[in-house]
Parts: sequence; structure tokens; C-alpha cells
Amino acid sequence: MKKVILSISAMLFVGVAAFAQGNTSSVNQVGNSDTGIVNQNGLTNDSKIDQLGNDNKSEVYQGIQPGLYAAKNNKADVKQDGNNNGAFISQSNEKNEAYQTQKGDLNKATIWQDQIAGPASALGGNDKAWQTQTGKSNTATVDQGTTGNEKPTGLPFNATQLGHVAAVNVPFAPHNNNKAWQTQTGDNNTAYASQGGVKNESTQTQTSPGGTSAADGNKSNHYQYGDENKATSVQNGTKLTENTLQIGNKNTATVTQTGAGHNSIAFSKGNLNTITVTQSN
Amino acid sequence: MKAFILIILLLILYCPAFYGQNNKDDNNSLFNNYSSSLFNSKESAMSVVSVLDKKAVNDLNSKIQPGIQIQQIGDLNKVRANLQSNETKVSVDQKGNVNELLLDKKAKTITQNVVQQGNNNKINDFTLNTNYNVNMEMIQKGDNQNIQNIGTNSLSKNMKITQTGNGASIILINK
Repeated sequence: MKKVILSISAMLFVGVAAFAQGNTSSVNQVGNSDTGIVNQNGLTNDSKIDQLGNDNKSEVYQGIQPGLYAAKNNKADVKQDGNNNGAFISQSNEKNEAYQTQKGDLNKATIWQDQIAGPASALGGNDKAWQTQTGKSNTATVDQGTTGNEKPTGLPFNATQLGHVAAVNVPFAPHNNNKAWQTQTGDNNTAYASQGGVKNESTQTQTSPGGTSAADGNKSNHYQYGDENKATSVQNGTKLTENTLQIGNKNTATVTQTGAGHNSIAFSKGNLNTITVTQSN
Repeated sequence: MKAFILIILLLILYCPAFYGQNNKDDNNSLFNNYSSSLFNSKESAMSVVSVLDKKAVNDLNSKIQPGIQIQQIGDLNKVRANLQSNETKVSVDQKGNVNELLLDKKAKTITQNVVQQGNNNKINDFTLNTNYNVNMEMIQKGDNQNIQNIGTNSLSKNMKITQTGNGASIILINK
């Protein structure tokens, strides 16, 4: 009988250990000025935060230094409905997914997906980020491999393109194959993507809200450091601004602007880079 | 009695699991790197970096010109621009060798300034509308440079082309 009890106990223990590797969290908050903060370590963690109201704030942290925790395959999903909300997701290591959806005005969404350790223990990348904002005066920011978007520093570049962005050396480690999608519908929105490493892709889409003729004053920003990166901007509306900066080789920037008063500023430093701009009324 | 022993065992086994979760939080000093205060400070930093603060945005908006401003430094680079607008201003600067620029424009007012410095660079420029206000300047410095410009009669009214170096070629077609 003791053997039976020990066997059952052993099975339960394994089950608990597996749960420790796959933490799940679900936070729902209804009201104003709420804060939701989630920290998760380990593999295959999942965090969901839903906030309904104004002036809410959410923060999700999954994984830390790759050499200390083999955190990967984490997933964070934040939805906020209201005005003046802030959403922040930080994921390190590899193969993570981050989703942020905001409806309302004056919202900010930020995703960091970085390799915190150096090449010896960093695991690569393959992170994916999705941001969707509907409303006006919203800001969407994605950082993949640039440790918090510490470059560049200035108006749409120059001073010889900011000293080729201070000779780069952003600590992007071996970051690679990251992808970011930022979709904004409305007026006066800003999308900002900063990627460091190899074969990263960033797509920003800013379009007119349903029922109006054009989105007004949207701004698209792509900053990429490394090789074989792709930046894509699609904008529809009036007074559109697009800024692209690429330092490295074999990078591609594609800009499509439809509407009146569109402007594209692009800078590339390196070889075999291609910039394609299409502007139409 | 057996049930009692089983319950006790289950309780004992679950306790480490709960402590394990707590320990991760307690010992997780590295998460301090991502504290809210840092997040907030990074937000401020990013507003500077990404030119999102209001004053910078207003300054930028006041300077916005319809069109493109492109600079490429390096070799074997390409710019392709298809521009359709009432008014467009084109500024392209390519420094390096074997670079290419393709411009296809359709606008009532065009202001264009193109500079290529290096060797074996190429400009293909199309402006296929008549009687529009066009002001353009193209400068190529280096050897074996090439320009092909196809447009209208009005196109050549205010056109300046400067090529310095050996082996340069230019084709102008005005329809």
C-alpha cells in the first residue's frame, strides 16, 4: 500500500513541476486608474490582461537573462478599452509572442523583446509582436533587439545622419528573425519600431477610420540596425510622415503613402540596400 | 487512516510547489531591471528618441514638405520612387559606387535635387506630364555615370545637369 501511495505522490509532484514551467495568468479589471502587473519565468508561460476603463496601466514581464532562465515560447496578450491607457510587455529569450490591442484615444502600447545576455548564452530571437490600436493620438512602440530604443537621438536624423547613429553597436547580440506588426486606425497616431540584428521584419499600417475620408497626421518610424532587415510602411490619409533609418547591408524599405501631403524621409548606410517609395493622391 | 496519510502526503507535496512560486518572486531581483520607474523613464527616453514629444512633432510638422528626402551611403544601393501628387519635392543623395535611382513622377509642381557621388552610378528619371512647373537639378560626380531623362518640353526649362568625371553619358528625351 505504501508503494501505491508513493507512486501516486510522485505522479502529483511531476504534475506540479510541469505547471511551474507553464504558468498561466488572467487578469480582468473594470474601472479607471487600475494597474495590472504580471511577472513570469520559465517556459511556455501565458499571460492575459483585459482592462476596461480609462487611465489604466498594465505591465507584463516574461523571462529574464537567457543564461539564468531558459524562458521561451512565452505569450502575452493585453487588451485595453478606454482612453489614456498604457500597456507594456517585456519578453526576453526567444520565440515569444506579444499582443496588444487598444481601443480609444491617447493610449500607449510598448513591447520590448530583447536578448538581455550576450552572444554566449543568448538564444537567438524569433520573437513576434502585434500591436493594434483604434482611435486617435495613440502611440505604438516595438523594440526588438535594441534594448529599449536607445537610438537615435534627434529629429528626422542628420548631423550626417546622427553620426551614422553613433556607429551603432546597439546591444542586439545575435538577435534575428523577429517580426513586428503595428496597425493603427485613426488620426494623429504614431508607430515606432526599432529592430537590431539579422532578418528582422517590421510592418506598420496606418489607415483611415471607417466612416471618414482619411486619417490625418499619422507618423510611421522604422529604425533598423543589422543585415537583411525589412521595413514596410503603408499609410492612407493626409499629412502623413514616414521615417526610415537602416544601417547595415541588404536591407529593404518599402513605403506606400496614399493621400495628400505625404512625406517620406529615408536613410540607409551600407551596401545593397533598397528603398522604394510610392506616393499617390 | 490510509486516507489521512494520503491527505498529509498531498499537502506536503503541494507546499514546495507554492513555495517555489513564491521563491521566484522573492529571489527575482533581476526583475528590478524592469521596474515601473524604469519603464516610465524609458518612456521619456523614447519620446525623445522617436521624436514623439509635442514640441518636436510641431517643429517637424512645420518643416514637412510633400515628397521624399532620401540619403544612401554605400555601394550597390537602389532607390525607386513612384510619386504622384499636386506638388512634390524630391531630394536624393547617393554616395558610393554602382548605385541606382529610378524616379517616376506625376505632379503639377516638381522641385528636384539629385546628387550622386562615386562611380558607375545611374539615374533613370521620368516626368511624363506637360506644361507643369518643374525645377530640377541633377549632379553626378565620378566616372562612368549615366543619366536617362524622359519627360516633356517644360521639363527642360529649369533643368540643370552637371556631370564631372570620365565616361559619363546622358540621354534626354523631350516629347
